[in-house]
Amino acid sequence: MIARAQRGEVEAFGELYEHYMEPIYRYLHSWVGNSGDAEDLTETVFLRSFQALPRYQDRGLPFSAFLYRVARNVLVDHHRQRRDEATIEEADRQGEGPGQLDEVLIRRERLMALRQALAALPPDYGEVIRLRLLLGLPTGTVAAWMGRSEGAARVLLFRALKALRQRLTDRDDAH
Amino acid sequence: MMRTEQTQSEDLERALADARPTTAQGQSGLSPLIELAVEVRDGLTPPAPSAAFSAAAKTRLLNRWARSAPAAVRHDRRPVRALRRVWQPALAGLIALALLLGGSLGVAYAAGDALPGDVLYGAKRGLERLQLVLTSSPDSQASLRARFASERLREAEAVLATGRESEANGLLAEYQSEIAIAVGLLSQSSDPERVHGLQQALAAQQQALNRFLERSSGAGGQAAGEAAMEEARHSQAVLETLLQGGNPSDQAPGQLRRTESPAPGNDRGRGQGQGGGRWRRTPTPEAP
Repeated sequence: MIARAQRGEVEAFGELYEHYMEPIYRYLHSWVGNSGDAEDLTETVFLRSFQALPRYQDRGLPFSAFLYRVARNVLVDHHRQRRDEATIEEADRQGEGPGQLDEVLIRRERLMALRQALAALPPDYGEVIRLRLLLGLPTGTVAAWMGRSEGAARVLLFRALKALRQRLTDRDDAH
Repeated sequence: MMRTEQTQSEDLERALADARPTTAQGQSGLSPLIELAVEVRDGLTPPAPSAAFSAAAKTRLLNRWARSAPAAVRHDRRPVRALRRVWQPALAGLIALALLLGGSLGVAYAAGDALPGDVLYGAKRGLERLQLVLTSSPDSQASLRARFASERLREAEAVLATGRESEANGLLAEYQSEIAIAVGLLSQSSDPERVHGLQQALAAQQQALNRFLERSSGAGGQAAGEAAMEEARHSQAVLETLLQGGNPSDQAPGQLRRTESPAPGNDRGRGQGQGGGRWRRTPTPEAP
């Protein structure tokens, strides 16, 4: 399929898109947290990937790892553009109080805390949690995407969860 | 210490392999981590993309690619094209002769009205592919693609009438792709007659799409019908721009799309069927 796409066959592009669009969209959504940006970024990822496809070489890594790398670059550009905006949003969120002791609000508060703790983790920790838990990718795929062995990816997830738990505990203690 | 960590990470992996890991599975103090992993997974798992976005984005990308690919691959294909000019007429003649001798013309004729699931449907699609192989000029390919699009739409209506809605939705997705490719090819054309012809066909197809939407009962059918309708309208706008001598890149993929005003920290919807919002131009992404 990739060879056909490299020869410029439009149908092959359609098949590649069908095959990989959902995991890439969900990965981007796990970072940006809203459908609108995730949709725009997904299109950008596939457009850039298709444009770069003639230069793509199979070096033993799955094609999804190539798409993932493009997605990471697109995210970096996106965050660079949005840095100021994000800082303002973050400040707004920190100003929010615990709210009423209502179950929905407590749940929302907890999810917000999880999201913030995840965003504050070192990049590799956040990444392995997103890929393994949020996208539900097999450990082998996570390892290939992150350029690690499967054992290293497992240990990374273990450490990441410990770090995430520590951040949540520290936050609860602070409140 | 490292050995312990490795063992614990393997235990964690085994626990997470279950669809619903329980704390009872937690060994050597892993329970809190398993609980946290489940909480993260259940609470923060991102949603799947909407069907409307999937179809519309695919169309935009293919449209864009169809317009840029011929120029991109022209250099590589030049020798093949030159060769084609020599052997294509000969091959076409041979095939025509074989069809005549084998009585296959009757099959080709009979396959014209075949629907998915019919014995002759495979032959029909095979003939379409053969026609594409034997056609090298972008203008002729665009005409073929437009004809195939019209055929997919006719098939989608017929298949929907038999109650096979998911198959009909798939045919509509193919309709969108064919239209996108046809428009992409025509954007390089200097033949206004052809552009005008496809524009008229698209207007008629919108009536067929309206009928499809009225008869389709499922959410998938509605989404597929609306996405196809959006594609038809968008393609008409692109063709109108072409006829007026404008640049179609103003229409795709940096076209106007309806968006909701984002609220900090909140999700925002988008796409057809969602009221309100404002129009904004999506920036055309740049190559890395």
